[in-house]
Amino acid sequence: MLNSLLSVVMLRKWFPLKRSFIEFLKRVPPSYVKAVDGISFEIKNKEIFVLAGESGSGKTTTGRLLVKALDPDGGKIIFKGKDITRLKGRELKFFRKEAQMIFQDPYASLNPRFTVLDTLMEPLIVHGIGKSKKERIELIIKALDDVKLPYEDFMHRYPHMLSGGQRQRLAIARALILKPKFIVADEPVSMLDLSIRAEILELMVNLREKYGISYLYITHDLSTARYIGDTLAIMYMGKLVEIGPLKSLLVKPLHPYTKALIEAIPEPDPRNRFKEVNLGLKEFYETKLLVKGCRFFPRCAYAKSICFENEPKLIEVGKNHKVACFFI
Amino acid sequence: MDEATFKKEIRWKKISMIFQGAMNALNPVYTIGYQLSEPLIYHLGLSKKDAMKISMNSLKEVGLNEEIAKRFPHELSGGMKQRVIIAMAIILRPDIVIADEPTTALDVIVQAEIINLLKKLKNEFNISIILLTHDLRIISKIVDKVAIMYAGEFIEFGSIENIFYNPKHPYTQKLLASIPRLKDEKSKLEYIPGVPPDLINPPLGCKFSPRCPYSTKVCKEKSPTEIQINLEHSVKCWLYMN
Repeated sequence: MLNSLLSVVMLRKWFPLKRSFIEFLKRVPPSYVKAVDGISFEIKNKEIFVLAGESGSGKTTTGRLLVKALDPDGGKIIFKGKDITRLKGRELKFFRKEAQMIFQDPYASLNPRFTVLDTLMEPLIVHGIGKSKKERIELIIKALDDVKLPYEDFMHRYPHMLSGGQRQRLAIARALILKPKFIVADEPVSMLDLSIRAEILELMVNLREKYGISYLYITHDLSTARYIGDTLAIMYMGKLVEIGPLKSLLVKPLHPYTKALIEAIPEPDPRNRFKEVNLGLKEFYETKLLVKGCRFFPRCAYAKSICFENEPKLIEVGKNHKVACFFI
Repeated sequence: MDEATFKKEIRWKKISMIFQGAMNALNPVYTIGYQLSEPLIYHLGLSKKDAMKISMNSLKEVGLNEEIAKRFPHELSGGMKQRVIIAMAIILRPDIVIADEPTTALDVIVQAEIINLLKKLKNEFNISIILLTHDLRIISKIVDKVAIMYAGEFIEFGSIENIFYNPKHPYTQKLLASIPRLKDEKSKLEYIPGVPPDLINPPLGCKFSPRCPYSTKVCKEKSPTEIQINLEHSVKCWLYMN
């Protein structure tokens, strides 16, 4: 049976908006962007946990909180049974080794003045792995081999000499070289050509089997998630609106927002060109955050007055399947 | 035709373009309204005031609020910027709009909305669209004819039904197999191994031959010529030569 690797309880991150000097003097309370506003979930060993939502829903912030690139304002992160929410500096070093991140844009995430060798050497030096240079190079050869970049050809290349897919594979090798147990992959294929996306996804799945890695896979495109994910969580404006096993959730989505996300995925069928896509969403809506009520209310085509009055809670509707909506 | 007349008569009046990356295609220091009215002022010689009126109207056509004319690009979301870019491209009522990856940087929901909008405008104003993209899923939503390009050449050309239901070139077949789908039986995606060819020293013969699973001796020696499969379908591949 799979057991829990990382669990998150009521995680919260609010970014304060700048106040003007006058507002500061008048002691106007600062307003916040509630990027992540009380979410709880659990990632099991060797699980690929998909976090989906549109841009601005807070999914990248969640990813960054989980690798401790940002400090949460509230809630708890428990990794391998240890509370790491408040750990800092040296105490956190063990976690830095165990949790790594793959970024969205491989054109920006690699240092242009580092060769492939330098890029992979740095984490080893920082964490003091390998006694001699020779030992380290052996580890690097192995990591490059894992991501199918031939060592002799690529060792001394700079990022600009690599294609997009090769860069992303180097980024994966960099994440992998410390033998982490948990990797946050923030839209790892969205900047890549459709024809090589599958290659990167397959690589990620193979590495999970080989090293027993859990992933948090962040994406807005459910069609790629479908091929690799185990659990799917849908995020909207800082809250989870639906969470459940990926396979069944894609077949039978319950929340109107999940339905829209699934409907928005273009199916490759030429007959589609004669009809419009109907997302079941209001296209234009007030973007200001409501004080109370369901966050999805302004866009929801099914909204009733109760949605404006109260905020729905995540309710269990099936095995491991939870939804936050009044009309289920 | 010389450059000056082309600029005056054709560019933007007859052929306009929607650029890739709406995030960076607008000038950050001018208001949306000013940027929209620029072609009207320079091409049609309208006064600033009249041009502004027309721009506000064209914002409505793409489903935005008129009041956006007074705002600056950084105040808009990605989808709204993309709509402004589209409004800009159709403001002089061109015959042809070239849309270069109009939805790449947008998330799926905005992407679906933008495709709906392009379809609506195409029918409303009788515009022809040349859509450039790597995403065949978007093609199937809007396009009538498809040309598949590889290393600077059209390798397959045909109506969308021909390309999607009866792809001939191995590259097209591979591209179609690499589309992630929500509703099908396959549990594994295919991909095209290898990298696109170096265009400075392109491979001899068919340029796809180093990555092609069916390549034979002749593929590596001579480039194939175009073969007509039916009235609406042609392909460049040795597999269909005889």
